[in-house]
Amino acid sequence: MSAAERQLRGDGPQSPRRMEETARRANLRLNAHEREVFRAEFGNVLHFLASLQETEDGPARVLPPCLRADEARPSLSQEEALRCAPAAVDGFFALPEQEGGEEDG
Amino acid sequence: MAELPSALALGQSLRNHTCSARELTESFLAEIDRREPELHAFLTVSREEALAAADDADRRLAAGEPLSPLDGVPFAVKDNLCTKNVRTTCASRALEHFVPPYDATAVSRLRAAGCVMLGKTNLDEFAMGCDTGSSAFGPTRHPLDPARVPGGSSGGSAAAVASWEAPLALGSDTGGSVRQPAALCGVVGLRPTYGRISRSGLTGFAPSFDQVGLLARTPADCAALLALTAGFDPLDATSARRPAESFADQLEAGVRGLRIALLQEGLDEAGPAVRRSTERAAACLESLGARVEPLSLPFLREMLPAYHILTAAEASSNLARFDGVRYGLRAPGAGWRESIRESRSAGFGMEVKRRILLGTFVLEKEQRDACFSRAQRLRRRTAADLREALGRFDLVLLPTAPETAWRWEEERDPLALYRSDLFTVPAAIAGLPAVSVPFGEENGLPIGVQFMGRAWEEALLLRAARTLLQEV
Amino acid sequence: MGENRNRPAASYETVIGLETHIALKTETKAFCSCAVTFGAEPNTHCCPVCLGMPGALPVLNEKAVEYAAKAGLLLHCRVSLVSHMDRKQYFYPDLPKGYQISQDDEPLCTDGWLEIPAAGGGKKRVRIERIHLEEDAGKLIHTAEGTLIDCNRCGVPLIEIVTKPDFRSAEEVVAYLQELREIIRFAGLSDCRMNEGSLRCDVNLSLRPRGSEELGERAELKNLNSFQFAAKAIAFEEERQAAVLASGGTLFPETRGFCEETGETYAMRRKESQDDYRFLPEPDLPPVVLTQDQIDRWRSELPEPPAERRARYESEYGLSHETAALLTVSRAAADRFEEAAARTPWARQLANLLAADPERLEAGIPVAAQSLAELAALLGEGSVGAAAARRILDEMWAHGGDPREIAARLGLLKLSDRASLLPFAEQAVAANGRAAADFRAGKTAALQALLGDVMRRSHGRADPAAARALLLELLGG
Repeated sequence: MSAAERQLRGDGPQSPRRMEETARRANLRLNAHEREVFRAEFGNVLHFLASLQETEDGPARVLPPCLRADEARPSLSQEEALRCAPAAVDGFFALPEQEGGEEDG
Repeated sequence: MAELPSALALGQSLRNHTCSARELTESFLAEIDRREPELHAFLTVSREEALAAADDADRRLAAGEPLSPLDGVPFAVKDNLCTKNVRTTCASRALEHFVPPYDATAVSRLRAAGCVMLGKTNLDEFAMGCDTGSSAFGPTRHPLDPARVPGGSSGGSAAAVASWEAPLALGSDTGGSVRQPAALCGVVGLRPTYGRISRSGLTGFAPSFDQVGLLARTPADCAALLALTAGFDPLDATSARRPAESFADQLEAGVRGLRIALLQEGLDEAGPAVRRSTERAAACLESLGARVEPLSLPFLREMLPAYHILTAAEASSNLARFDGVRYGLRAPGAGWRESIRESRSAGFGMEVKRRILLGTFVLEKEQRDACFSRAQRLRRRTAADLREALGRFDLVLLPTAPETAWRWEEERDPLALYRSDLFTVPAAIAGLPAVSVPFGEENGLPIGVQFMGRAWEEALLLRAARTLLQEV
Repeated sequence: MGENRNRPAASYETVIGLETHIALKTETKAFCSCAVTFGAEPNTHCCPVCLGMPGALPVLNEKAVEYAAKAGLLLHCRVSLVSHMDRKQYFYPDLPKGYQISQDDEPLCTDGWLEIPAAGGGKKRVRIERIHLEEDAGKLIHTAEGTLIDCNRCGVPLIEIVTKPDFRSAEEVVAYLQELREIIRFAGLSDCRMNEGSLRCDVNLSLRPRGSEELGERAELKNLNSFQFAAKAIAFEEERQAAVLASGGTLFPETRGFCEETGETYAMRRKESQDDYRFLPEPDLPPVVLTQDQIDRWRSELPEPPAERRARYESEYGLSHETAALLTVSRAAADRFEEAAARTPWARQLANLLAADPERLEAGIPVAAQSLAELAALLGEGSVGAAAARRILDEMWAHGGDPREIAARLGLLKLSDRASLLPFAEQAVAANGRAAADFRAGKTAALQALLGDVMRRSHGRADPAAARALLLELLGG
């Protein structure tokens, strides 16, 4: 069994810490019921997935290239862009104040 | 099932002025009103827009200038395809009030052909599921027996066509989501070759598997829908440039001389009634002059874990955009990080969360090689093996689903559900076209058999489907 | 800052690698047809694709590919004929899709270099590890009430240029950035304006004992808004890290910002050993496929590097270093200058004339080469003075026209005929009795004052030589 497989069988998301980490990465908060259900299932699912045989590779199905000409087309109006926004201020999408002083992207 | 007119026949009657487009639309809307309390196939009925479109069609028909053979004919749209100014929810609380400012290309092409959109149909949330039970707004029920599932994820579209709430419907197929409900409800369901129909406006689940699918009563209707929706779209870089074709040219050509493979694994893994139907279909095709040979593809089972890992990975990525920032459900939070987390947690149901967790997990550095990369290799190899095996044949015949529509309250083991994808996943893994056609029944419940074909040969698939349906 | 003057001891050397993001000067965004703008009203150049709405799909801009490949060619990279896009996944409010479309394991360009002046004279090669294509995120504005998001910038095409850790000082970093900016701008690929965000630089800095081959723990410095601030941040960080090491402490990998007021770097967050972006090959985009013919054609479209052009101007036209630099601020200006210079023996005069108003040269010279050549001739032959020439140039710049005709219309032609000059000369002599007397008394220098007066009275139009001769005649000299 490879290290990866050992990893899968032994420390899969059914371990609470790992599942919490994965949920955090996915920006999900699981409630107690969800955590319980998923933990029970994941063990089984991962056992099944760990039975994935190693295989030789096959030829990739390559899509033909597709590029776009550099010509501007009308954008949405500001009103259209913001129409479904849960909160908007002065033409901007608005979010509650951040925490932690994150830098600009 | 009683013989009902096809969509093309409706189109013809409009051009003959046997009835008006408005009358036609009103009659479908009335049927929707009648059946919806029990069926719940629709999430949104766009009554005013439909009547306005029908009036426009009437003007064209009066002037003798129909836009297409389906001008004035109504259709339904699965609610994961965006429709301009009409609510598009993906059956999720996350998008409960989302109104897109744009149409999916498949929808706009049908509108441009004069078709009349009746409304948006129910689905499993974000198309993840096989019984339409995970919809945040309640399940759709089987048209013949409300205690049973219609299949999924395009359960609403299949039920609508089966119950004649709509003559045509658009769905989506990622691993069987159009074909399986078509089989369970007893209608024709087509998954085209990957790239045949533009995905622009189709909410992505697993983009390298997703295709817009078509549901109708007859293969000829499917051919007409395909002719109107197929073709390169500059908004979808994965859509294929192919010469235009009608897809109906060979519909009546029969199956004489066609080489058809009967998939052994299809028979082995199916329930007895489904197995019998499939064997009967094979015998029927043989009697009509086709050469039917058994074919075993043991690697088929390997496709399932590859499918589930890769679709989960792509889905976890595609659903990352639903954060309640620019649109969709926003839940309160102390800061933006918490708000995003709460919005997603409140917006997504358990099945969606399950897939996102799995997809996130398999892409994490520690698991990537053992899970994701391995699954990619598996996909490439099995897809190549499948295409090679098909090389000797014109078509493969197999069941669509291993069993008929089950009851809602039956306990479904997740792994059993997972294995039930066995017949529909291969076409999606390899990007090949496949069609489900009603053939036989068990205790009054429809059974669907499936043809899978080579890339770009939808016309051949529909021809075989047409031939088989004539024998029912 | 200053108490802890711990310049890295001679035993330590500073090792720096740079990641530079450059916004490409295309009409439209990387993956949708929204216009690329700067300073527009918020959320007025967005569409379902760059807003990350459901079902909206990316389609790659062919110009972005071209410009990225050209940047690679300018930096002597190998341009891959086949590369693909990947999703780099993380959550941030300025990232609508929850992932950035970028390139991970198959970037467009690899293994290039850029030469910069070396510390002791001569040149040094900085190795370019890779250049890849990606999309920009939106703009966040933090206010007391909350965070505001403008998605106009979402999807603007960027190239990220990653160097190997070849820099050893802030001076080298600044030299590289200046050189990089110049060649990218000259080729028209980007405006490279740090204050507008079309050029952004992150510095990865660590220290190591001199002679060691291993890299120390590095800090990534971000938010550097000018070359000078980058140099200051590097200086501060060198000292900070040296102080930690000197006191026996340990450094750990982290991201640090830079405060312009204090000149100090500050901790932002610890870097995980390697942030896990869960890269996924982009399923919505086919691979990027180029042909060798395309690459050869793009190579032939690239301009001669500005440094070479400047050297040529200095030797061929006798221009000063400064003037040559001003003329090569943009390819369009340099090209037009050369076109005109080919038609006149007065190239140097033309160059100085153009260089007198350098700001407008960046957008090119909207005056025909022939007209420029004629103006140069007027100036060189003395028919107009320098100030007049500038006026004529301004007029042609704004409204076009023929230089000689404009000179005549605006009364700018130099006066050298006796009839025009005589009144001025007589007035000057009459009004400057003292100077005239001085001259007659042998103070030849007094002629200057009279000449100056003639120039003033004639609004600079008097031809100095003719005026001088006339004055001498009038003074009886």
